[in-house]
Amino acid sequence: MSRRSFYPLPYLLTTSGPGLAWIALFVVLGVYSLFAISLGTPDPILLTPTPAWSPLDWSFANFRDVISGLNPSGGIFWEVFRRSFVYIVLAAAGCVLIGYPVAYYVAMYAKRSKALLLVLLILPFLVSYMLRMLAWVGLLSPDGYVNEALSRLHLVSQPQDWLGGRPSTVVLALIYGWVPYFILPLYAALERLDRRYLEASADLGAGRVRTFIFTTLPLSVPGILAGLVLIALPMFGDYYTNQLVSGAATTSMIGNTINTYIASTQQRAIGAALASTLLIFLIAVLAYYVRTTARAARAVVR
Amino acid sequence: MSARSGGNPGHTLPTDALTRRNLLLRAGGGALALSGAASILAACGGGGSSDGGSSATSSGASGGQGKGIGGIPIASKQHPVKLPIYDANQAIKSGLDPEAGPLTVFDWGDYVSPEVLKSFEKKYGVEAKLTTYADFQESLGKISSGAIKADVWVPVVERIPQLVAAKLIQPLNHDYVPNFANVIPAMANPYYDQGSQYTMPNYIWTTGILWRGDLLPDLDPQSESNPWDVFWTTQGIKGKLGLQNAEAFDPLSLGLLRNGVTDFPNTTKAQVDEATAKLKELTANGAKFQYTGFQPIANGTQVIAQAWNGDAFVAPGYLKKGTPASAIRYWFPDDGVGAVNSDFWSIPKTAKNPVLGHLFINHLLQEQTAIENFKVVGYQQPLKGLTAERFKELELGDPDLLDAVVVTETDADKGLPNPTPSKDQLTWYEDAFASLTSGAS
Repeated sequence: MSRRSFYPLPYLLTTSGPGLAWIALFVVLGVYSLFAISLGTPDPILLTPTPAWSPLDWSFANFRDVISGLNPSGGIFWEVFRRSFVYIVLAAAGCVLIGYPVAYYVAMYAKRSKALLLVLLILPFLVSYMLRMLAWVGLLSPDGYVNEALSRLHLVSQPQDWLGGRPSTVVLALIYGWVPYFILPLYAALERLDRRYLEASADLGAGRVRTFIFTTLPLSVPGILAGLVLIALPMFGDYYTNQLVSGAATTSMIGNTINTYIASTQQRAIGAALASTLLIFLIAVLAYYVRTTARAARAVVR
Repeated sequence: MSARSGGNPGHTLPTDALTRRNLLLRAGGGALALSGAASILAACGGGGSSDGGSSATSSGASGGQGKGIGGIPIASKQHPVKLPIYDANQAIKSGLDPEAGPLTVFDWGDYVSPEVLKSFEKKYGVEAKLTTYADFQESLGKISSGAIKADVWVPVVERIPQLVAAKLIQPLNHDYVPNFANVIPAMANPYYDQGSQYTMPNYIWTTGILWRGDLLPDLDPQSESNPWDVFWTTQGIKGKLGLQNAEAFDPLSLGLLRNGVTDFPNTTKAQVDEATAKLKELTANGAKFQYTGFQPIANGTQVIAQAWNGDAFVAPGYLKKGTPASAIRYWFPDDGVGAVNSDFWSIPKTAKNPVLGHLFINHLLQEQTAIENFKVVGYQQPLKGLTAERFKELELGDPDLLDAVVVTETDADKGLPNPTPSKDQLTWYEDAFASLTSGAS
């Protein structure tokens, strides 16, 4: 590499070297493997998915299966994709409704209690996601504490089957699981917000509500979007939340279908193609986000 | 794949359909949230299989009408198969001395009692190392790529033709396995390997109806004209019923039996479609898919489930304190006409200690080790004398439950194994399974 190169060699070898190597090895190679398997044909004897590393060997049969499966009229993946989309939109909306006031309060109003509140917000990250979810499985089981509390309060006459495959349980569990990941980036955005805009808004005669609606909220859109991206992308791949709190076929999400193909069938390459398709879809969503935030950033600067 | 992980539920983290492999992979939560990552890891293990494939192709094995995927006829009880022996893959000679070891046992997780390994070590003065898997495909990838050189291995019956055609397992020399004489007649000359040239039986199990007698006191499949129909006719089980999904064929077998179809190897598209439609009534009623049913039944989140007899055997241990063991009920038809499957021990071609491998298999085929395994794993080896009466003598569980769970010679003889599908059947089964598990209407 010449000295004039865009990225000087010393930097490449020292500061950013490990990071780039990591990304090349575990992200680029990993994603390429996924595509190579999706585009490969199974071993004729062992039926094991065999990656097609060279583009010359690519076969699009698995992708054709996935695309026809996503056909809204009768495709076997359409229903589960539509359902995932609806659950994720509902869960994301729930995260905004619950997370925004929390982040707003901590960033704008909390004073002496701020340190404590921040610790509380970080606390969920110290416990594994799976464990937090398993805890709810115990609480919500037919003879768990939730049913016991509700029946003592005479709110229910007999134990409710919370884990019996209710869509509402799945959506609530998704909100519970992912809301901490939404609050933190939003808090960071609100914290960084230039208070002079708010003062200017007040000086120009806007009340608290008008200031919030016309100044704070628009300025916090990048934070909301960042939070949404952070939670929505993993929710598309999340299948364990669903598996733990429901497990019913009628609530299964696209992540469950991918897992089914990987774990229980001889057509793992279809699972890989489904995962690749999801990845392409999510990259498109992410690209839209990057464009929007870039535009929003320019608008703010202007 | 018959991912019978949690074969020993007593020693397994019970998390329904999440196998431990999945748990480990996904413990990172957000980091691995795109499940694609799992498929990469899983599929990478199988990457090096093409060598095994090409060598078998060159030996003249070719697909065709009535042939299975490995070029060997599809085996069924109606059409037993004698597997080919290739010049390049012969059994070891008789009279060899055991190797110095250590013996590498490649087995499903918690699928053999540690005591059995210890007694083998003591008897032969060698070390026995256990390496486990939670998924057949994972083990196949490791064997075929040479990542693991195991001396004994427990694959699945449906894939035997592929293992033989690809020369992944070697023929066995019966001279080293005198205890083979202990195997019950129904399993001593199995349909999938006439003459037991490549395989020796491991466990045999039934897939029946597991339910909570205390929560469904009126349920009695035996008294019904169509016992399998209880999944459809029993009231008050919405959201509390489980179906098995270790393999795509598992839930389907229930739908087929319910519809009176017992010729599993020759299912037609129409039969598969009808069974699937019937099963969709169950998923619409909130049926859940799971590998093992013991835990949801024991903790009451489910009251009825399609499950293995091994689930029934271990379930009492998971009941809430104060609930009597008799709350666990299990039914399998007396005439044996239900899903009965088995698996087997084999010796990989690449084994470094094939003589020790034979001796290990021989060690397993005796009553003492079988009882030790039954106690710990919950599954039964098909050996003579291992009857419900014998297990009751040994006080290994609730007598009524033992009567229900112990596999009889009739079961072994008349039982319906999961078939080795043709290419078409495989597609039907897996499409049906995908649409069932994704709740498509």
